[in-house]
Amino acid sequence: MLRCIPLGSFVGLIALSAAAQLPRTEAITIALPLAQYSKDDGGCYASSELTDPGAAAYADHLDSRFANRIVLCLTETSAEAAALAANGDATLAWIDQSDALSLPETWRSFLTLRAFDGLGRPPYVFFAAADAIDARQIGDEQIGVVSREPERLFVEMAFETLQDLGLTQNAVTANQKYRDVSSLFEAIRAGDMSAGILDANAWGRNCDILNPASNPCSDLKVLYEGRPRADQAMVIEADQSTEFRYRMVSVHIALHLEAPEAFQWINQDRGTEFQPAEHDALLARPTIWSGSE
Amino acid sequence: MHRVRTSLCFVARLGRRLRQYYNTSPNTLVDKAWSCPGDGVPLVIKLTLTAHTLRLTNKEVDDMMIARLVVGFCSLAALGLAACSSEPTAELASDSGDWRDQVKTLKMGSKASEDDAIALRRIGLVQEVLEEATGIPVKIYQSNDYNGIIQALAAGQLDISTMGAGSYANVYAQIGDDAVPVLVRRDVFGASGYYSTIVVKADSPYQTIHDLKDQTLAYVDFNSTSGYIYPRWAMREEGIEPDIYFDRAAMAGGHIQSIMALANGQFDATVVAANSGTPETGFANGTLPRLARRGMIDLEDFRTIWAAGPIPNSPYVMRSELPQELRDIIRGAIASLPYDSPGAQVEMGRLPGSDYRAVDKDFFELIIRMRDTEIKRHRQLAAAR
Repeated sequence: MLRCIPLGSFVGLIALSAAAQLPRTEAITIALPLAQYSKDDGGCYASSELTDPGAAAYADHLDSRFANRIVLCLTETSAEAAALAANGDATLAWIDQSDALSLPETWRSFLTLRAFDGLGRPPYVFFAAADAIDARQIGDEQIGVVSREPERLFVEMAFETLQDLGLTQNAVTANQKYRDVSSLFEAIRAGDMSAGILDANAWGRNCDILNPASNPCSDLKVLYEGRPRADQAMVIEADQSTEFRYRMVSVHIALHLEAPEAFQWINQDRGTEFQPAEHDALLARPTIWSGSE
Repeated sequence: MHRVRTSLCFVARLGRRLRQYYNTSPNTLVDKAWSCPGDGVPLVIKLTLTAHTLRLTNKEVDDMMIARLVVGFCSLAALGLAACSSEPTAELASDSGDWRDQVKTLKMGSKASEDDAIALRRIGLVQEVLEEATGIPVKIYQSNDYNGIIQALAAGQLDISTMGAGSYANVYAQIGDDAVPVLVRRDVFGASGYYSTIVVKADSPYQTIHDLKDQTLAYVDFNSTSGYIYPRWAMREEGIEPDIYFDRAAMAGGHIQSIMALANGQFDATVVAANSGTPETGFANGTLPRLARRGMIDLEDFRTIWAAGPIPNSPYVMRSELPQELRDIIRGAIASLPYDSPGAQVEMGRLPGSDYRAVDKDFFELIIRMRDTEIKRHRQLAAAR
C-alpha cells in the first residue's frame, strides 16, 4: 500500500472514463514503482510538488507536452502501481511481468525499455515440418536453434519465447544447436529435429518471404510467431484513445534525447531508451498457439 | 563572377539538352511541379536526370553542383519546364488549443516512382496509418527526384517526408531546425544503417575498386547519401580521389536507373544502396535484390566489389511548425506500427524484426559534415578552374 497520499483527494477525482480521449481538465496520473529511487516519499504529486529533480524533470516534460496536469504516484513496488491502475487511480502504470495478471483484461502494455544489448524484443518464428505431429508433443530436445552471435538473439531470446509458450523450461543443449539456418532446415526436413525457432528476420530472409514468386519454405509450417515476453512495461487502459497512446509513445521513445535527466530517473539504469510494445507484451502465451491441427 | 556566369551558362545548356530530349522522347523528364509558395520562396521542380540522356562529364558534374549552389532553384524555371499551382500548404493558424483547427490536411512527400510497386504500397500503408491516427486526410506528393522532396519540404510545401540522410543534410543546410528528423528504421541487430556498394557486371574483369581506375562510374544523384555523398567520402578515406580516379562519372537519376545503365553497358560500374545485412553476411535487400524480385534483373549478372557504411538510415523528417501534438501522434503511430501490426513490415516490403528509433539532428552530424565538405570541395575546384 502507499505510505501516504498527499494528493489523495486530488487523485480521488480521477475517474478514468471509457471514452477515448482524456478531457483536458483531467489529470494524467502515472503510477511508478520508483519511490525508493526518489527524494520524494511514496505518494502522488503534481509536478510542482516534486522535489526530486529527476522526477520533476519527467513530470515537467510531460506537462509541457500534454494539456492535462501530470501527477506522479510513486510506489514502493510494482504490485502497488498495478493496484492503483486496477482501481482506476492511474492513467498509466509501470509494472513488472509478475503483476500483469492483477490488472483487468482491459489494460494493455505499450512501452518497454530497450536492453543494453541493443537487441530489443524481436519477433520469433517457431516452425516444424509441414506434416508435423501435434506441436505440443514436441520434446524440449527436439527444437533446434541456430548458434550464432549474438547468442542473445539466436539462442537465449528464442528459448525465452518457447518458455513463454510453455514449451520448455530447460536450457538449450549442444545437440540442438546448428551452425546456420540451412543446417537447421535440413535437420527438420530429414526428421532429425522436430521443430526449430528463428528470429523472424532470419526466417524471412531464408524463406524469401518478400518474394511472392518464391516459396523455399513451403515444406515447413509456422506454428507460432511472436515476441519474447517483456520483463516490465508501461500499461494503459486498452480503450484509451490511440491518439493519446501514440503521443505517450512518441514522448517516451525520445525521452533520452529530449529530456535526458527525466529519462535517467525513470530508467534507473535498466535500458537505453523506451521502445513501443505490443498489447500483450507482459503475458505468457501458452494458449495463443494451437499447434498442428 | 566568372564561375557564376559559367554556371548560369551551364544551366542554360542543360536546359537546351533537357528540352531537346523532352521534345523527342515519350519518357517524362520533368514531372508536375510542386505548388509554388509566396514570393521569395524557391520554386520546386522535379527533374529526372538520367545518365543515358545526359552524359555528364566530371566537369559537368562540378558545374551542375555549382549551378545548384549559385543559381538556386528559381533559375531552373528558366528551363520552361515548371508549372506552378497556388494550392496552399498546411495552414498553421495561431494556437487555438486543438491542432485540428490548425492543420486540415497533412502533406507527405514520397520519392516512390510510379513503377515501384513496393514503394508505392509502403507509402500507401503509411498514409492509411497516419490518416487513421490523426483523423485528417494525408495527401501524398510523389517525386522521382531527390531534389523535389528536399525543396518542397524546405519551402514548407510538405509537412513530412522520408528522405535519405544526405537529403536531410541538404534540408538542414537550407532551413536548419525548421525541419527535424524524428525516426529512423532499426534492424533486428539494433543497427540503424545501410551500405553504399559499387556493383559491376559479373562478366566484367573488375574484382575490386582498384580495377576501376580510369573506368566509368554512375552515381545516383547529387543528393543521394548512398549513391553519391557517402561513397565519395569513403573513397577519399581509402586514398581514392573520385574526381580524378574515374574516367567519367555521371548521375543516373536513381538507384534503379543506375543498375539499368550498368546493365545496358553505359558504365563500367555503379554505386547503389544495399541493406538487411553487412558486407560479411551479404545483403538481403537493397537495389539489386529489389530489382531481382521484380524480375527486372538476374542477380547472377552482377557482382558487388566494394561496400562502405553503415550509413545512417533514411529519417522521417517533419516541419517543426506542425503542432507538437500532431508531431507526437505521427511519430508514435509510425513507431508503434511494427508492434501493433506485425504483418505491416512485410506488407511494406521489409523483413520482419525491424522497428523504429527516435533520432534528432545529432544522429546525422557526420552526413551533414560530409555534405558541407563535398560542397566546399566543389567550390574550390570551380574556383581553381
